[in-house]
Amino acid sequence: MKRTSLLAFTCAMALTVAALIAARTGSAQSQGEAYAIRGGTVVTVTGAVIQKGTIVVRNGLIQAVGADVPIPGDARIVDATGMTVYPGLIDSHTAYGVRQEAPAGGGGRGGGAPTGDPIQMIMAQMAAPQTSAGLRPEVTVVDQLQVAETTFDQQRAAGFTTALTAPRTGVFQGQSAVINLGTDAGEKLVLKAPATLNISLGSGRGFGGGGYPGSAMGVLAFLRQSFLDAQHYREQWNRYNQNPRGLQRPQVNKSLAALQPVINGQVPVIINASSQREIERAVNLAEEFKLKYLVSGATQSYMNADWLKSKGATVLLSLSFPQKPAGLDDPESESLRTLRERADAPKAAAALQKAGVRFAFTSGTLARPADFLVNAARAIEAGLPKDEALKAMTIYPAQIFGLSEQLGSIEKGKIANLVIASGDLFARDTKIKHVFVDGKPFEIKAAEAPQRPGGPMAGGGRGGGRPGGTTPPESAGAGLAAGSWTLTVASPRGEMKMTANLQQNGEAITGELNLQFGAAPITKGSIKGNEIELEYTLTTPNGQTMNGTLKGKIDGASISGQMGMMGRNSDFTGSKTPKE
Amino acid sequence: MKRTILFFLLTLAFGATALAQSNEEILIRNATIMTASRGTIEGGSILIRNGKIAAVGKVADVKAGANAKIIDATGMYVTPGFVDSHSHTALDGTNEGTLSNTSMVRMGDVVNPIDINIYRQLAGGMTTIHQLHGSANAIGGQNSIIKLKWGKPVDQMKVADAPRTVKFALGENPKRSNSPALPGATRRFPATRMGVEEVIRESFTQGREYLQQWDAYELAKKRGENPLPPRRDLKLEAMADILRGKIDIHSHCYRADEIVMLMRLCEEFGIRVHTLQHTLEGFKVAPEIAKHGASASILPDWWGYKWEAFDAIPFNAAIMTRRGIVVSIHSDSNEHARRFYQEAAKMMKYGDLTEEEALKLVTLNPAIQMRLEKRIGSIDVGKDADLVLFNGHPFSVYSRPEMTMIEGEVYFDRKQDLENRAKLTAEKKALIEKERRTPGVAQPTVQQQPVIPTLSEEEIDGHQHGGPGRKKQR
Repeated sequence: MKRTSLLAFTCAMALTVAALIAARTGSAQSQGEAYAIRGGTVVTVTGAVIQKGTIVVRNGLIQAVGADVPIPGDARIVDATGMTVYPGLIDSHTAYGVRQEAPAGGGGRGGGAPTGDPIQMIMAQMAAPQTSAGLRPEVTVVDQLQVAETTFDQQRAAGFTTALTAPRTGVFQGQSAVINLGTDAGEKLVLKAPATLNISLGSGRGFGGGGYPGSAMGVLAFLRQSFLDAQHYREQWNRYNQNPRGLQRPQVNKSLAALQPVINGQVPVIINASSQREIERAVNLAEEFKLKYLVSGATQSYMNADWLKSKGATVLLSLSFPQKPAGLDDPESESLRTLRERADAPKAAAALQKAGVRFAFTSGTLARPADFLVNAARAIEAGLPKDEALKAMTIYPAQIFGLSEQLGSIEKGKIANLVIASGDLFARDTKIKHVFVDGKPFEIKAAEAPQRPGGPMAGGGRGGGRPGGTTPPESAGAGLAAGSWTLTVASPRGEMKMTANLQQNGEAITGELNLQFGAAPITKGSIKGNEIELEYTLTTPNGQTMNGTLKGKIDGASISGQMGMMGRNSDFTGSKTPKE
Repeated sequence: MKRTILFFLLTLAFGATALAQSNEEILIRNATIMTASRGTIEGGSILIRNGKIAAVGKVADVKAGANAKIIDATGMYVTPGFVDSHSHTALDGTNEGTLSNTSMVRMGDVVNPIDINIYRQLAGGMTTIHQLHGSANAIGGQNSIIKLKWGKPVDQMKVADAPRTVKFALGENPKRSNSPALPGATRRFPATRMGVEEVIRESFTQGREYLQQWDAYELAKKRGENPLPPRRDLKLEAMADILRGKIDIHSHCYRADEIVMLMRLCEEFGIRVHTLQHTLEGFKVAPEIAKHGASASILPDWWGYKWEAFDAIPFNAAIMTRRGIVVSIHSDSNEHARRFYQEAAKMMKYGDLTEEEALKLVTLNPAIQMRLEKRIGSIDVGKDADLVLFNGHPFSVYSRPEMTMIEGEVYFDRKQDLENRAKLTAEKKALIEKERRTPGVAQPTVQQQPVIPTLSEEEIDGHQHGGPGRKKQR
């Protein structure tokens, strides 16, 4: 069974809330509602595995767990016979549930935002005077959470019940929160906020476009100055608070106030760093200002695991491994270093574990939550003990975020975040059957295999909640979209060129669009017959993200249709670049 | 007391072991040694101990211990490792061009120790480089000095006791005349040469005020008061350190009038331009430069790539040298840096510099400009054993470096390199094959910040990808 093919399947995965809950929708918070999960193998993580154990869930908490636990009379029974129960999985760094910021709001900009075609909007943003977007540590993700009934369907289907979430743009990316991946309105899901202050060392603001800082060294200088200012602010207020009489009142500054718990070591920073040298820069910066820190990403930490140990660093290790670029005609054209880095990335977890570095897994930039477990399995193949892998997505992140009394294992009194799987979590053919979030059950329905145009679907009826179920049907349009395309968009401001590098796998399309402002990764893409539909996210030089769509028809090597951004559609045409 | 003695003894013991371990001797035997300071020694030997040059002289005069590693250099030429006073190699950024003064940024923060250009330049005999901020703004960032210790971590590459330097820039680049603003974006101040001067004067003035603030604070503390310390401002702190003489100015410049402007401006504030960079019209104002006490780092025969770079001559190095200015040649280019010795050779042709004077342009003189002449730049006893072994005279186009060492450690060995190639090719093949057998999972990435590519210094300055006016002299 090919792993690649399975992912296409995941995309088509549909899930619904369990029927028993559906009947009660609209009822008030179900106080006292109880469930008993019985007959399954219970992997508690912190204690011994219980064969044929029972877990009683009430009021969103685990009321009891054990082999001989009496089942209360009012409990609804979930039969887990033959299945394995795990604590809900924790993704230790995501941007889940973060509302896209309205692109119009730029501080200090006169007049309303220009409306009209997307190109004009982007130009206007580039022209806008330097705003503090991405430079404000006081931004909190809690204010930006937007959760609907289906927002976390994919995450729950992949076994996730909890995640640390924060925006992903700017230098100061905002104060994160640990949330449960339920269906309640944003704030109700929050377990801890602020959990961390997130920082990126990337130079996303660009040269000449977005203002200072616009380079890797500028970002470091900016951060250094910010922390120095925060220290000065602390000193000013300390003096004033001790003896205000006769002293001028210092000015309140929201950004510097927000940095106080960070420089005082109460709130850790997450610093995104992927390469070995970025990791070193991140750690050095944190040490310079005595910050509590977590390094997130850390793809190349297999190179300096011992060094990280010597620093006492904690790592949020990304399971988004580097990928072979799409449409690579000549494999020899890649450097040996690139090939090595790709081959070595899955070894990072084992290296950290061996060196004794505390770490937890994050999905990093993975688009599909289901790939998390697939790649965790690769880390296990590369030498990470399986129980350590499980801990790195349950109890370790709970400990790292100071939530180990509530999360991360199946113990009495902890939050009833649970995953019921058909078998071993890391086995390829295992399917997630049920997930409990805050004691609320979600049944993960087997996905419908995508309809195969012009023929019965292959592997029909098997379905599966995650990769491993079946081979995707060979679409009539197989390979139709794959390749490099040059697109011309007719916008009111004139023609605009862009390229699209697409990969096709069954009916799933992945890849990215390349606009003159930067790359726009495809977040969702499909092709049915010759009709293609894409969704992508563009980040402007000002650090704002915008979602766009593309709908088109492919006719041989040409394509035409409409691209949409911010509610406006523009026609486009394009052609496929022939392979050399 | 006993404990102190014990501690002292322990220190001695460990110190001795450490010394013994690194007390390795290398003897480079029977070479033509171009010292760059005391002429050329035919049939000479160099003894290296603990990474330093322990002896240099005629074969008969240089004796090594019994365990010394011998490198037979018969028929070879040895020169000091080359020193590039103007490089943008091995950095994860060039310009923080968003503001007119970005003296708070530090290139040392973004050294990239795995830049392949490090190895390529080692293969051309380069051993020390001055990593400069770009020239997009009047006052750029603080620069960094590294040795090209390929394979070593950044902190071991950095020259620990190197002086602090800062990049200034004059003319077309800081006024952005060749880099139009992005569509709709407002232009950054300054847009004229007058404006560039004003930015520098204003920055010096701010730096002086900042300095006074801190002096007043220190005074108050001395009086026993408990004042609130002034806010630390990294930009002004750098300006203050420039005024205190703790940071050397290395300024990008072309035109004679601007060179004089900057020197006068600095004199107004009681400081000196340490090194002029590019300095294409330096020959016109050589006496003024000499009087001011600046040194000059130049592009030897490279001009015509923009308006301010037209009025140049290849005799620049010779004229300024004869006026008593310490002149160096720089690469400003990953490509030129790989054959730096040929750049120096040209200067014997134009203006009749002697062989040693020409060699100094890429060794001792840049070392002086980086205040490292006590450590590097010539083959003298006590200096770092940064050496290049050539298979022929380094100024011949038919010669090539066979071996480059830094502090006695070999970082490039042509023989070794040729041997490794088959192994690396096989490894690459195996990795490609392995990927083919186990196709990866397709994982589109989301929410990554697309990085707007920053312009490289070459693009900004037009040296290599320059516009229609580009003409490269050879």
